[in-house]
Amino acid sequence: MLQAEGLAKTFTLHLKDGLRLPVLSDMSFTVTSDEAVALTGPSGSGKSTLMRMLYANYRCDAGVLNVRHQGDWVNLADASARMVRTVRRETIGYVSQFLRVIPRVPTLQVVAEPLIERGAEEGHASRRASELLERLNIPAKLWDLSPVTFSGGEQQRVNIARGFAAPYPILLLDEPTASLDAENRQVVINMICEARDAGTAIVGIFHDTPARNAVCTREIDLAEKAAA
Amino acid sequence: MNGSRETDSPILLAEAVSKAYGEQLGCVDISFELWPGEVLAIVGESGSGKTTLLNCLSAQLMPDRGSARYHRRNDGLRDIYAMSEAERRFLMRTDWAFVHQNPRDGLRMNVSAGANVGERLMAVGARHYGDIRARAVDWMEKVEVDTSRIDHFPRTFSGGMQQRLQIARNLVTGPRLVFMDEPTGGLDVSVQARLLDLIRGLVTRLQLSVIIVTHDLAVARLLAHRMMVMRDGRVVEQGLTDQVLDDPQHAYTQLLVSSVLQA
Repeated sequence: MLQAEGLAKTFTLHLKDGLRLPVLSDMSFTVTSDEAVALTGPSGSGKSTLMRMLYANYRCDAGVLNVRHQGDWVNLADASARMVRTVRRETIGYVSQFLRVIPRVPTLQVVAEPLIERGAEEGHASRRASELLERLNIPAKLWDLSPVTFSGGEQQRVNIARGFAAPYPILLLDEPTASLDAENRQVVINMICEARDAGTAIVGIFHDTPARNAVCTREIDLAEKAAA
Repeated sequence: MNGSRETDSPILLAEAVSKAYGEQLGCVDISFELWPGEVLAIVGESGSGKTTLLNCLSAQLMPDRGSARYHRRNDGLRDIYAMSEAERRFLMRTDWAFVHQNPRDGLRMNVSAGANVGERLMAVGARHYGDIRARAVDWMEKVEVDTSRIDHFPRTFSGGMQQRLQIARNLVTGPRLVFMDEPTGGLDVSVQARLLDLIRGLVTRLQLSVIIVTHDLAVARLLAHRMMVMRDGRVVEQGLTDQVLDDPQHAYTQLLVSSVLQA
């Protein structure tokens, strides 16, 4: 589903006299559709940077990042903005650590949006969104409110619901269980395992070791890669 | 929805658009594609040339060089600068819309709210008074302006209401390409949030293509799929909005992004 070859990333800070911070170099790996891969390594080893590169949120300075999109390989490292948008709509889902809240948009709509963008009928999208919110224990009385005032854990669960609303062949998860209580953590782990068993290729960062062990079939250690 | 032919072509294709005011550079060598349903933000500080560019793209200003080809409904890509004045005026009334920063520039202040919306319909041939009024009411509801004020003059409205009315007036004829010049500039923050939410909803529902000029990166983040950063008349960086804002490459973009105040 995903083939990375020779990916590299260096940040150039022009406001600090062009200071260059190399983060990743020569990263190569593949992820197939029956795998859940954990990115591991100490903080600063580039896990989050790599995740963002896989979503084309950060640009790749070098290398090829091939993604299986509707039967074809698309190189996200040099795809047009329009192609990246299509790949994000249909193929790659991303659950970030923090929900970027849009003022005034109700929770139910935040969750249903990825389906609406794919052209799903509004009633169907709302039903799917309610199922997910229910499963993730977000009380129904909150669904009409914007998540702006929600607690951290609630916002994260809304974010996860949104990430799972539309089925994606590839799912990127950045610390999906970080601020959850035990019960909700288990719900999220179950959801990820179900997606994996249904054939979604998963790449994630899990600092929570039991969650990582429950979900992942393999690890990629970025510290090792840096040392090699 | 519109057939595959439309999605296979950009709606607007700008090539090397340049405009100078004497020695003073307006915009230099601007090229980009805009696809149906896409929202493109042009950001930069005052004097960066973004408004000059917007005025050139919407044919309110003739560039010195370059072309801007627009994909009309039944007729391939046509250079808007090679069209006759009458053809351009027709586009402005039908396929295009322009939302000004100051509602005074986009509304007639001494004509009722309903007539402001209805006028654009009449310009494209609507004649039946009842229909025109019904569509004006419908659009006032869509933009959340109290319909009991349909016979009031816009000058008696608040700034936010005026701006929403201007949007209704612009969208009532079903345009495909909308130009916006700082549409939320000068509004209170709460009014701004409501307006942004409204624009966002309309753009998605009506599948509009939009070129929006703003100096506010948060507005770009919220509304735009793609953005172009301008400085001294040139585009210094462009790409997906989240890419440009989260991983800015150019020194000037890094400066802009790092200068945003966190509330």
